[in-house]
Amino acid sequence: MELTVEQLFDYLTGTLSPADRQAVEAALARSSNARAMLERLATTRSTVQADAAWSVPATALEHALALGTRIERRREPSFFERLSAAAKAIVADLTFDSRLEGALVGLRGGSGFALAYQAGEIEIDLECGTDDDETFAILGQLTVVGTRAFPQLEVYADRDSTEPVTRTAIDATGMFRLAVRPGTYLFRFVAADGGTPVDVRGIDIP
Amino acid sequence: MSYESDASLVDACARGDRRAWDVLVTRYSRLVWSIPRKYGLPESDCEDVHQTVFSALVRHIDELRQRERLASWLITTATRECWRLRRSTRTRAALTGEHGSAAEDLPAVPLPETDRDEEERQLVREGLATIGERCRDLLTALFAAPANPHYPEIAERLGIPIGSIGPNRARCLEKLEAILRGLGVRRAAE
Repeated sequence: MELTVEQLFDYLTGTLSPADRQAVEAALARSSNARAMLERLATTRSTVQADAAWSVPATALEHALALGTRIERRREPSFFERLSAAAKAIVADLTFDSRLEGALVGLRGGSGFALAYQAGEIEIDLECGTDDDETFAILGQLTVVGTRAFPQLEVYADRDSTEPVTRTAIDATGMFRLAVRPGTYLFRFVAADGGTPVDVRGIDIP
Repeated sequence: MSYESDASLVDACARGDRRAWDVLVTRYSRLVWSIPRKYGLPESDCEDVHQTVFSALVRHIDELRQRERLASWLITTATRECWRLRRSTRTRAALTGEHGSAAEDLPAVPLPETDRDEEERQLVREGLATIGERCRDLLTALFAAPANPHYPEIAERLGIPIGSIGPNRARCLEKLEAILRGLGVRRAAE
């Protein structure tokens, strides 16, 4: 007699007649597969009955799930995310260079020059005066189309730098002051709302 | 992304897949909690063990060698944490003169086969989780009955015709048997 899982379930739950019960026991004695099947049913039964009596408190589950933020930090950005981040760094177009325009109007001293960059919806005006032999003292103004405010400017030597060369505050009118050596920089305008900063690369201080 | 095997689940977590972590915690939360509960620890201690085990998993996820034996790792880590709790409770009791904590009364040695029992129970939970809602509800109702299941009551509770219980019972039991055998629950002696 080959036992079915249904017969074994009925045997386990005590619903068989004495004769059927005896027949099942005889078959069980002969078959290790049938005994294993019965054990699986018995394990299922004891698990279901034991589990019905308790549950993990929702707060404990929430706390364990919250550890997922630490798991998430392990994630490497995908190729497309890296590409997207790189694309967010807007390349600035030089729209005005006073040295190419002849007369220099409105600059203090007369030894300096003025540059204007356009990058997306951002316009940056820079008045560069020599501070000493190696450094330019810059008075800048940021003009932004839209309502976002950028109270902080960080200046990086290149896109891969993690530490800025310098940083400065931008006042409510968009004015800021910097002192940098000649070079090509990335300007990072840090947003007041804590959102994504705007990176403008290709700011060339000759 | 399939998280069917523990190895694939652990791999996904190690790569920072938050959804995989959610699946892992949901799958194993009850198993982890069952260990301190088995030792009769109070709920606050169970919660400590539960959180400590999952925190340890986050920290050591790269170091898990046999990723397909995740359940075993969780049971061992939870058991160790129960013992650590016991030691610290004893130390505190010795210092303060207070006795009688549940953690202090853990059995002298955890029985090795107990771990296997817990793993088997976990496999049963996984089997029931994958079998499909209708079969799961029916089998849970059938197995939950302390003795002879009362079919009219089950039919009413599940909102199904009583005549459908017989054929569905046969189909679902066969399905569960195939799943549990595949998962390696209570293999027949060779």
